[in-house]
This record gives sequence, C-alpha cells and structure tokens, in this order.
Amino acid sequence: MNQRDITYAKRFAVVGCILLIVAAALEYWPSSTALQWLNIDEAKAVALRQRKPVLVDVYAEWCGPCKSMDKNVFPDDSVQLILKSRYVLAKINGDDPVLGDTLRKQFHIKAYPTYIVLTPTGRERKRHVGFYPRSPFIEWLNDSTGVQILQWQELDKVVMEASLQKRRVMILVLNSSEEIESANDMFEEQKVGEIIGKHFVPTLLVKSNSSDRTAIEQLGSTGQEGMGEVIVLESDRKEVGRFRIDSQMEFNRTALANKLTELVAK
Amino acid sequence: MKGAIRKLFLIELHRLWPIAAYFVPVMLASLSVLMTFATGRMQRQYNVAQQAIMLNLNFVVPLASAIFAIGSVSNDVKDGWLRTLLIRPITRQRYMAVKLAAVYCSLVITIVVAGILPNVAFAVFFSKTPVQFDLARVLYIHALILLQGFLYVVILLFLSCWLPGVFNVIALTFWAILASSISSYIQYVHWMDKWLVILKEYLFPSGFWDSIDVVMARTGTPVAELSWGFGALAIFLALAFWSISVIQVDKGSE
Repeated sequence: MNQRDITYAKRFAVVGCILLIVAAALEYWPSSTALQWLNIDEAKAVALRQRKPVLVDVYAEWCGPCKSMDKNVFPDDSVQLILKSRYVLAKINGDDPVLGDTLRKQFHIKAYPTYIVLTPTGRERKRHVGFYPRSPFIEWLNDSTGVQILQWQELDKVVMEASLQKRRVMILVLNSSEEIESANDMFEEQKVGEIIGKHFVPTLLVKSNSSDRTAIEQLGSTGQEGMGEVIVLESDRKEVGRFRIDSQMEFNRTALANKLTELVAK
Repeated sequence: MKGAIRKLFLIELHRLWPIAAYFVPVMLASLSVLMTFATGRMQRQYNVAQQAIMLNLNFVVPLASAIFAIGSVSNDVKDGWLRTLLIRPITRQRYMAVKLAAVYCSLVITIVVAGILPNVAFAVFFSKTPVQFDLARVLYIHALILLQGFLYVVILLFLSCWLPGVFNVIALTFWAILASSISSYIQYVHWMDKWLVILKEYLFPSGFWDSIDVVMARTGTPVAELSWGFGALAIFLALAFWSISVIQVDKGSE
C-alpha cells in the first residue's frame, strides 16, 4: 500500500491539461454567423438606400466580451431576426492597422465591444459599451421608439423653420449619446415640453457624433461637465443665451423650465 | 476493502452532520424562501431557471461548500484523525476520495433543500405571474450548478491540505475577489492590452458558470466553457490527490 502514490494525480493532470488546451483552442476558434456585416462606408450607403438605421459593432480580435457576443448573442434566432429585418450591420475592427485609429477617434471608442446605432444619415442615436446578454440586447435593439428628441430635425432645417415660424432655435448639445434617454425624459417632461413647443424649434447635437462636431465647434460649445448644455439662437443664428445642464436640473425639472423661461424673456 | 470505504464514508458524513449542522440547510432554505418571495413577486414572469441560478450560484453553493469544507483536511491532520485512519488499511488517496464524496454529498443535500425546493415550491404554489419552465434547460442548469459546486469543494479540499483551519475558505474568497478586481481593472484600464485581456478570462475557474450563461442565452452547446470547467476540475483534482500524497501527517503513522 503506497501512501505516496501519485498515479491519480498524474492521470487527472494529463486529462486536465488536454481539456485546457481544447478550451483554449475552442476559445479562439473563429466563429461565424449568418449575419451580413459590412464596413462602415458600405453600411451607410446601404442604410441610405434602404432607409434603415445602422448598427455598428466596434470590436477587437482579442476582446473576450466581443467573442462572447459573437458566439452567444448574435447567433440567437430572435436577435438575428431583428438585426436582419431592421438594421444594416457594420463591423469595425478597432485594431485595424489602417483604419482602426481613425475610426476609434471618429466614434469616440473607449472600450470594446461598443455598439452604436446610427440614423440612415449617419447620426448617432444611441450606444452601448460592453457585453449585452440576449434579452436586454433585444430590448435595446427594439427600444428606439419613444425617444422623441431623436425626432428633432437637423440644425439647418430647424433654423429655416424658426425663421418661418418666428421662433427661436433651441439647441440641445449633449456630451455623449449615452445621455440621450435621460435628456429625453427631461425635455419631454410636460412643463418643459410646453415651453419648448410654444417658444422654440428644437434640435439635438451630440458631441460624440462626428457629423455634429463641426456645428458644435462653430457654436463654441466646449464644456465637458454634466450632461451638456442648451444654446438658444435667434433665427438669424445670433446667440440669445446658453446654460449648462447640471445635475440639479436632471432631478428638478422646474429649474430647467425656469432657465428656459429666462431665455424666452431675454 | 469496499466495506471499509463505505464505513469510512458513513463516518465522514456523520462527522460532517452533527446536530448543529442541520441548521445550515434550514437557515439557508429560510433565506432562500425569503429571497424567492422578494424577487419572485417583482417579476412579470417567474423564470425557474433564472431563479435557480440566482439562488444557487450566488448564495447556496458558495456558502454551503465553504461551511462543509472549512478546514476539512487540516482539521483531520490537527486532531489526529488522519493519522488514526492511515494506520488502518486505508490509503491517503482513498481518504481524499471519500472526503470529497462526503463533503459533496452534504453540499448536494443542502442544494436540494435550500436551492431547489424553495424555487420549485414557489413556482408551483405561490407564483401569481406566469411560470416559465423548460425542463431540459432547468435540468441542464442544475447539472452545471452541481459541477460548479463540486469544483469549489475540490479547490477547498486542496487548499485545506496546505492551509490551517478556515484559511482554505479565506484563500478561495480572497482569490475570487482578487480575480474579479483584477478583471475589472484590466477591463477599464488595460483594455487595449491583448494579452492581459486574454489572461483575465482565466483568473478564476469559472467554466461551468460561463456555460450557464451560454445555456441561458440558448445559443448552442458551450463546448469551450465546459472544457475550461472540466479542465480546471481535473487540474484541481490532480492537485488535491498530489497534495494529500505529499503532506506531512505524522512521521510515525505510516
């Protein structure tokens, strides 16, 4: 009876090592889905033709959560159904030696994976960073209705309309598209909504959206603190006033309504 | 020999279940019932598989495995029980196998009482919302929960060969917290570093847990995750059997 026998230990170690090698190999085995992923330019062109939003998946070859999404979430039937029927899909490799750096800067990518929904014209509607389990991802893909501020028209059209209606232009500048839903809650609140509807023609600009950046720079909006700021212009683009949306306003809508009323009276 | 092993198994079970130990499943079951009622009433649809994961993986399995495996080998060495066994025709390897079986049986009993019964009872008798129950998936998830529990037990017994008393549980807890912290740090600070991001997936043996995510997402068989889970299990079994073979019990005992 050998008390120092390590036969079992050796056998388990061999089996364990084989399984770990299999796990490592499978982990990095390329996975495929039936989804048709385009590059960003192709996707924008197709989106314009089909009048569908673009879902941009910004990933890296070595990113675990990206692989997990590809393997566990994108192959799901419900996810595929929504993606195929309602979106044009684009994939961006953030580590691409040629375009990666430019695209990362263009889309303000800070972590992988990042999922961005763009309008057919390339305007950012919303984004999510990190792994998304199946059900919340489906909810997120479905949930683009009800965000009224996304329906606000673009700046040039708003200026024209303001001049026709003899109203002022209200520009909501958000620091990030992650703020869109909170901002929607604030600006669709009854009292605030009434003031905007009566006195302003509103538009939305998002700093992380490359197509809005030039307009934001021209307006001189540089602040990074808080949710963003509100700028009010006359229809001839002369500035009436501006204020930063601070955390107090996020919880106290009356403070926001008061600030807007002040700009109406100016 | 088989009779001796069966007798040793019963003795080990008896040692693991003094009167005070009966409070463990009862206490955990009471808390499970409270948690099930608190969370079950808030859901629009009661998902049995989801609730099983919440109750077992986050609560019953880690706590029960820690309670039953706390100082399991080190205390046997300290109080001379292992020395007493080894002067009989029982090898160290058989002792480890029996110890694993006894601790794991205790864990399974606790999982059934505290992790499965409250869930099933709520789904059958108390849920006021529709119950989502897919038998195959619920069984699959419970099998993975039991495997994750077995992995915890094996790791705790291996650590107990080298660490005194409660330190096996402390070490495993510290490892889990450290792995989670490092993983978060890498995710947020070194997310551009390829090798660190790959490494963070392997900081803690969570293959069975990852498999459950895949099963819940209904997206095929989690082959890579299961290989990682079984691979880690085999490696820790190897370490446990190697450790029991080399630790110093008592120079004059064998």
